Amino acid sequence: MKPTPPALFRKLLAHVVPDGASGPSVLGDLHEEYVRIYGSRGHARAHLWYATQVVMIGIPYAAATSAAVAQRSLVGLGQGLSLDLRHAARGLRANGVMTAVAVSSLVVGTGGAIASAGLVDALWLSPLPYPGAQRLVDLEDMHDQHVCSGCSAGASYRSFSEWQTLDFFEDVTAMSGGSRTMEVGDRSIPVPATEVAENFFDFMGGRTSLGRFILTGDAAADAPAVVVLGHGLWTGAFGADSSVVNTSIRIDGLPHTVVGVMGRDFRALDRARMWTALRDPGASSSFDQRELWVIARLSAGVTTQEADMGLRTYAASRYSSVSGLEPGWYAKVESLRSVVSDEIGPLGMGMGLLAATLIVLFVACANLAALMLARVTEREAELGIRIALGSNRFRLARVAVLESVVIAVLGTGIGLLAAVALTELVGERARGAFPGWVDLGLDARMAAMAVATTVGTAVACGLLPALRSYSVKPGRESLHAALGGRDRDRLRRHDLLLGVQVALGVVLVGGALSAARSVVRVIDFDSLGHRYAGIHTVEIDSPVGTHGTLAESNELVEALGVALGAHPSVGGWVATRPLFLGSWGNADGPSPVRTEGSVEAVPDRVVPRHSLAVGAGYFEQMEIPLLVGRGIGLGDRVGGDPVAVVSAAGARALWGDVAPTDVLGRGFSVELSGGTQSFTVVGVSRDVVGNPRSERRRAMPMIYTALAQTEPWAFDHGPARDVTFQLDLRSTPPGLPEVEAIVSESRAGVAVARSGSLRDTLLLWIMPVLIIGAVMTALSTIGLGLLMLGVYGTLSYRVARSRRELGVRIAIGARPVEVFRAASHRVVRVLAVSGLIGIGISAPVAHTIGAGDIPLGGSDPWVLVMTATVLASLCGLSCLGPVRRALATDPIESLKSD
Amino acid sequence: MARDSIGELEHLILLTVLNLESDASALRIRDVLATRGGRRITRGALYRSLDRLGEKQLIDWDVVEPDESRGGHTKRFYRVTAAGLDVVRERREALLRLWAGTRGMVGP
Repeated sequence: MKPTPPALFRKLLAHVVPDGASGPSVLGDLHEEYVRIYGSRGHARAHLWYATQVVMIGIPYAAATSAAVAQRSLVGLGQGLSLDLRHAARGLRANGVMTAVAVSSLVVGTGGAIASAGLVDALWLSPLPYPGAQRLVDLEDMHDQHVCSGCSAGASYRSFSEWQTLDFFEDVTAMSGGSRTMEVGDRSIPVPATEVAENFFDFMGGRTSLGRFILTGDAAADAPAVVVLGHGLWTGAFGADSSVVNTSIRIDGLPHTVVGVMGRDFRALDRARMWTALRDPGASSSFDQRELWVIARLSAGVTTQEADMGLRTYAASRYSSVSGLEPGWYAKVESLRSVVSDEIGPLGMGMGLLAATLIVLFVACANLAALMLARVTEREAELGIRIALGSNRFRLARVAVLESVVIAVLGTGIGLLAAVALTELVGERARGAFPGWVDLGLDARMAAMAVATTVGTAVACGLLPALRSYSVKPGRESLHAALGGRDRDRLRRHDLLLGVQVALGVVLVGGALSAARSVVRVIDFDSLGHRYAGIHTVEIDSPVGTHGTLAESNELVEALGVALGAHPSVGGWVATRPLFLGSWGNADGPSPVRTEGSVEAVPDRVVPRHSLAVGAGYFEQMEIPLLVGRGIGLGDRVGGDPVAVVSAAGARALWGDVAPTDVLGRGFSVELSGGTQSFTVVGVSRDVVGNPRSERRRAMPMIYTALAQTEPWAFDHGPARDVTFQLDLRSTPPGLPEVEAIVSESRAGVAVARSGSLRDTLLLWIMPVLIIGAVMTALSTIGLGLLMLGVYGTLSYRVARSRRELGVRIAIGARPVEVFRAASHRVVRVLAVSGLIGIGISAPVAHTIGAGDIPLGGSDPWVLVMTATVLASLCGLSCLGPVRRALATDPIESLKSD
Repeated sequence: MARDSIGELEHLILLTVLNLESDASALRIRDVLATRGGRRITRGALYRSLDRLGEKQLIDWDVVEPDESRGGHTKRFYRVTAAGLDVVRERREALLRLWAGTRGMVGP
C-alpha cells in the first residue's frame, strides 16, 4: 500500500502555511520523512508523527498570521476615525429632528429611570448602611395569643442580656426610642432620642466627629448621665459649637454631660437625633418589660432561618422556666432589612415602582429603536449606491455605529446629569419624611444598568445599518432597496415596536391613573368626617405622663389651654389625648374594655382600639355631628360620673346592631394594670375616618371619653405623654417660637413636640402616598411623552414613505378621508390592538403596585376607561401633524421628486 | 527590512546554509544545525526562520520539480544571497571585535 499522510492534517498544514512561504516544500519535506518513518516504524507511528509535526509547524505560522491580522485590524480601525466621526456628526445634524427626538428620548428615559430606580433601591433594595448589613437581624418576643401577626412586641433587657451569650449571634445590641425634652438656653425643645446599649455605636460602625460615644460603664446605674448629639442637632441647636463637648445640658429636667457628637455620615435606624445610655435595670427587671428594640449580627455561616429556629427553641424553653411569666411566649428572628423596609411600605409597592421604571426605560429604548430603524431605512438605498460606487463597507458600517454612539453618549450623559440633579432635589426635600438609614442618593448599580441598557440599545440599533452595509449587494439589490422594495419587512418591525410601546404605555398610564386617583381621594380631607380647616394643633409632651393624678393632669391641661387660648388668633381650644384600648394582642384575644353586664371583655378585633379622650366642646369645635344625646361638656369633670360618647361604628363594635338611641345610658369599663374605670355613654356621634392614608375612607369605631375624667393610667398603652391642643383659629396662628414661649411661661419644662395646622399634620401622615404617587405620575408622564414621540415618529415616517402613493391617490381624486385612511390605517390598527393587550395586562400590574396599606393601584372600570381615553387622545394628538402633512401632499411635487 | 535585524537563530541558519553549499534543503539544514551547531529546533521554527530570511532577501532558493517521493510537492535548496553574505561578514567582524575585547577572560 502506498504510504499517504493523513489527509486532514495535510490539508490543515496546507491551509496554515501561506502559499507564498515555504508551503509546498514544507509539505514535500514532511511527506519525504513520513514515507521513511512509515517504512521503518509502521503506519500508526508515521501518522502520529505527521500529526505532531503539523501541529508544531502550524503553531508559529498561526501565531504569525493572527498577529498580522490584529495589526491590520487595529490600523484599519484607527484609520479615518476622526473623519468618520465628523461624517456621523454631519449626518446627525442633517437629520436634526430625528437626532433631537432620539436624544430627548434617552434623556427623559434614562434620567427618570435612574432617579426612580435610585429611590426604589434606597427604600427597599440596598443593604443597610452598617457593617455586615446582610447579617443584621431583628430579635423580638412573640406570643401567638397576645401579639398580632406583623406586630412588634419588643424585648426585655433581661432577654437582651441573655441573647448576647448565644452562639448564633456575633453581636447583639439594643435601643429604646422616644422623645425627650432638651433645654437649650431658655427654650425647651422635644428631640427624638434613643437610649442605646453600650455596644450600640460599635455595632453600627458609628464614628464621632467630636468626643466619644456611649461606652462601657455609661450604662451602670450609678454612672453620670451622658448624651451623644447627632450632627444635625449639634449644628442646628448648638451652632456647631465644638466647646459643647463636656458641658452639661438638661434633658427631661436632669443634667446630662455631652460626651460626643456623631459624624455627619452616621445614619440612625430610627429618627433619633441624640443618644443616651440605656441603663441596666439590674436583676429586678422582668422578662415582661418589653421596652427594647433588639438587633443582632448573625455569626458567620449562620442563616436567618437557623438563628430563628435556634432562638425560638431557646426562648420558649427559657421563658417556660420563669415563674410568673405567662405561658406561650417565645422569640423570633427576622431580617432587619425587611423589618425596617416594611415601615416605609410593602416590598410589592417598591417592585411596582421598579416595574414602572423598567417600563419607562423600555419605552425609551423602543422609541429609540423605532427612530433608528427609520434611519436605517433611509440609509439603505444610500448604502447600496455608495457600495455600488466602491465605498469601503467597514467605513460605512463604522459611520452608522458612530451615529448611534454619539446619540447614546449625548442622551445618557444628559439623562445621568438630570437624574443626579433630580435625586439631589428630591433627597433634600424628602429627607425628613424617612428614617435616618434611608439614603436618597443615586445608586451606581442602577445607573450603570440603565446607562448600559440605553447605550446597548442605541449601539445595537446602530449595528443594523452597519450589518446592512455588509449584506447589501451592489447593483440590482441596491436599486431594489432604493425603490423601497423592502417596505413590508420594515413596516412589520415598526409595527412590533410601536405595539410593544403602546401596550407598555397602557400599563404605565393605568398604574399612574390609579395612583393619581388614590392621591386625589387621600388628599380629600373633607371626606374625613371632621373639620380640619382653621384648626391649629399644638402637641406637647405632658410631664404628668401616666403616673400623675387626674387633678395634676387637669391642672396642666387647663393652664396650657387657657394660655394658648389667650392668644389673639385663637377663638377657642380643646384638648385631646390618644387613648389606646387595644391589647397589643391577638385579634381574637380580649381587649381592656368590658361592656356593662357582660362577663367577657370585648374582643380585641372589634374594640375601638384607637380612641380619644377629649375636652369640653370637642364635637362642636371639630364639627362632628351628634346623632343622639350630647357631647362632652364643661360639666363633665372630676367628681361626676365619667361619661363617654361613642361613634356609630363604635356603638356597633361594642353592642352590635342596635339603634343609636338604645346606646344612650349604657356603660362600659376600661380595665388596665393601673385600675378600672367605668364610663356611661351620653351621646352617639357620626363616624369619622381613622386612617387618612386609606383611600377607602373606612369609618373608624371610636370611643370619646371625657378627658377631665379619664385617669392618667388609662393612657398607659398608647403614646403616654402626648397631649394635643386643637386651637380654633380666627387669624394667623402663632409661630413655633411664640407657642414655645407661651407654653414655657405657663408651665416651665413642658416641651412642644409639634405646632402646626391640622392640615399639615394630615399631609405629613399621607406623605408616603404623595411621594410614591408623585414618582408614579412623573414616570407615567415621561412614558406618555415618549409614547407620543414614538407614535409621532412612526406615523411621520409612514407618511414620508407613502408620499408617492398618497400623491397618486390624490391625483386620481381620493377624498381627504381616504387619504387619511391610507396614511394611518395601519398605525391605528396597531394602536387599537396593542392598546387592548395593554389593558388586559394592566390589571395585574396595578394590583401589584397597590399591595399593602398604601392605596396605589387597583383597577376598576373608571381607570380602564380613563386609560383608554387618555391614550386615544394623546395618540390622536400625535397623529395630527403627520396626517395634516399627508392631506397637504402635492401630487405633482411628490411624483416629480420621486 | 534592515539587514542587521536578524536574530541568533537566523544567523546560525545562514551559516548552516553556507556550510551545506548546494545541498541546503530544509531537512539537511535542520540536521546540520543539530549535529554541528548543537542546536535542535522544531520544524515550525526552522520554516518560519527560512521564510523571514527570504523576506529579508538574505537567502534565495532553487526549486526542484515535484516528484512521487515527495507526494507531488516541490523541494527547495537554499543559498545565501550577496546581501546575506554581507550580513554574515558584519556579524563575524562584530563578534571578533567583541571577542578581542574580552582579553582572554573567557578562554583562548
